[in-house]
Amino acid sequence: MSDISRRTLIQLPAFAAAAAAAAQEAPHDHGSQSSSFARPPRTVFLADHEFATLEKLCDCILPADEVSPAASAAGAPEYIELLCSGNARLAQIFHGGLAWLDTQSRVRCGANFAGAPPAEQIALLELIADKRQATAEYKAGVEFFDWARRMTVDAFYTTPHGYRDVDYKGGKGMTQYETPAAALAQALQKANLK
Amino acid sequence: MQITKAEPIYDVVVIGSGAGGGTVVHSLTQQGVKVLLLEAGGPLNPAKDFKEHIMPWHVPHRGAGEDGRYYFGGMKYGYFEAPNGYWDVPGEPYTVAKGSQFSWFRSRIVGGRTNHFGRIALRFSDYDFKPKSTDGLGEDWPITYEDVAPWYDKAEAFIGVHGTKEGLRTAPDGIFQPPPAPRVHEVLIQKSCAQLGIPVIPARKAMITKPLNGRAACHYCGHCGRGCLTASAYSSSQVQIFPALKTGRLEIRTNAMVREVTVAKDGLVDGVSYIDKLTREERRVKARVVVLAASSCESARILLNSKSASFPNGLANSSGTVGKYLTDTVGLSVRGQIPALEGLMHYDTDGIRGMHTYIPWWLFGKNLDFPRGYHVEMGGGFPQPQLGTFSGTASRHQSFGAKLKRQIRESYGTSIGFTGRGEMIPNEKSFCEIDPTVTDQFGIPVLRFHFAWSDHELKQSAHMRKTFTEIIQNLGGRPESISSTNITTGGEVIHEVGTARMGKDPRTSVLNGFNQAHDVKNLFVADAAPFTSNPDKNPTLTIIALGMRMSSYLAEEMRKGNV
Repeated sequence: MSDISRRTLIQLPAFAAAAAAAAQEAPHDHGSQSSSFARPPRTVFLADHEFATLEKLCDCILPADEVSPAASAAGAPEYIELLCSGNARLAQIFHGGLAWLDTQSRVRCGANFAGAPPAEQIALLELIADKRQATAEYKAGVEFFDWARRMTVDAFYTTPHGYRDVDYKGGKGMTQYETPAAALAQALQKANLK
Repeated sequence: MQITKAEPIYDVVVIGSGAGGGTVVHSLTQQGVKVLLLEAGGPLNPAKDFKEHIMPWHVPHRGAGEDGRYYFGGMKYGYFEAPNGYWDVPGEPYTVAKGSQFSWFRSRIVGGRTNHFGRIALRFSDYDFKPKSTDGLGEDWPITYEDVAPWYDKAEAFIGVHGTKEGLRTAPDGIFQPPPAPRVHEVLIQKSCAQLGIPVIPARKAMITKPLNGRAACHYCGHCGRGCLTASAYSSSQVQIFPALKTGRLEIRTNAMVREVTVAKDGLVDGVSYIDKLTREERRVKARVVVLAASSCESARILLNSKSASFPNGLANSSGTVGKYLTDTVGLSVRGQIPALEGLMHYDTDGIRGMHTYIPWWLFGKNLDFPRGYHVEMGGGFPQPQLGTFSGTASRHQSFGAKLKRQIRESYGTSIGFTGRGEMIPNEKSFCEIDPTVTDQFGIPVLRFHFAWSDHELKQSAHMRKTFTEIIQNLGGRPESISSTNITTGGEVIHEVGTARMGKDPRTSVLNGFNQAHDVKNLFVADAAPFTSNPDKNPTLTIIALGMRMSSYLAEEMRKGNV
């Protein structure tokens, strides 16, 4: 071990003690609820047209509703593009899948996916969203959609938009953990337990 | 080999810095012994290395890794966790014999697995030390509960364990700090299980709820697996090794990959040879005593690789049992959607990560179709969303659009899960040995694993499935399998133990009841390799208690000049 790393290690008890003391003074700032989220910049890897298609797809998977904004506001297309840029298997899945969407869309309505009427976009996705009902000719699309859905969901719910959507109450830390009386009463009554 | 200057002769060299090594260096330095600690991984700086309190959106890849490896199974414990260890360590392979399945988890960092483990801290029961006398299977330990009980007391008081006194034989009480209050679903499970005759009691974990020795009380952020910056969760690095450094009697060398323990002409060990991973040079250190605490299988590997004229079959292996009697914990999980939790008002369930309550074994002495028993861990609540938190929901519903958003919202916090952790009986087919042809990148021969569950374990996991299904149904829930198989893969629970077991008879065991090699009096093993059996209580607390007990014995033997 180098002298530098040994020195680093030897200094640690002092740090740990200071951190422990600080933690006893005040709970850490785990503040997540109040956090703002800015849509991240692109890691330009996909062609612009592919990115526009991906953005449309993400927003079809998780559109804006009365509770929260659409997936693109949570940076879902940027997240997927970033990982495609670092992973050849993901890149292949998304290059291929986005092209597949365009091909199918042109067959159905004469326009690329991103330019198709919203009703046509949804109708196409209906054919590939449920693997239990998909027919053999859409198998490739089903596989791709599963990836797109999984990663869009991951991207959306790992931002303050997603945290607020599901009403996550934690991430704050506390000095004492107590069972919330009102929630407990509600659950016991519903479970018919005393 | 390069010896540039005269190296000092250390009192004791300890190999490995996890629960066993951390305990031994702390204990020995407290008693005035000069110790050199060798760690195969790098140094640890919690302030820099622990990712506590980082939100997923604080990193562009949200925890998937820049290369997206999360999506291809390459990151089981996640980017934010602090294992610094993996199922595959680059350049350090192991092999698995044909027909066997085994996964070997290794941590390469000061503190080892204790930086991130679940901190479950359960005492073994009296009968756990006498398995053969109890049901004829396996082998009795050379020590009894009474021998270890005072050391459990010391271990709990020092590392800090929360829990409650329950008076159960299957879960002996200890020195406890107050436990955190249960979460709503845990109270539901407790009340529902009472109808089934299944006890649900506060969990026992090495997480402090009151300040202890300068460590702050838990602040209930639920990020325990990421490494705890306030050391409220026990880790050997923060609780034992850093304080031991303050005594001035401990020196640490990191990135020190041990090749073998060296033997002098008199048949005693006289030091260790290791590879400095940063320079790839071989180094040799001299010591009066060597303590192996490299993790059960790594310690067995070092012993088997330490061949000499005195020990042609490996060090301390006259019995031929080094590497034998390898066991892991039996595991199976079932989860269920609970209608009574639907529409529940949301609250902060972060608390102490995992469970605040658990089920100790409740059928001891009952007539069952399998020996021994298991404890049950549980999960539920409104977890902090991470990658994968809603993958199951999305996959279950196969939907998209506003409907999917609604399904995720409505199902959040409505499921609970149960995981069984049971005892495996050592068997002939489960062991590790040196692979005759494969070496790691340092030229050190690697381990080859053989592993097989027997009917005992398969029947036990079937009992787990039946029980968890009943519990979920009794709560009005719909059970669904979490596990795709009927039982975990060997090694998967990361409770691999027994590869240098202790025993009364030197012909059938490696160590005596003080973790001391029968064949070599100045050689000790302080991880879970000495375990004669692998009870349904997680190994760590017993590693620590036995490590303290061993250190006290060793220091006394050194004072007397016996070693």
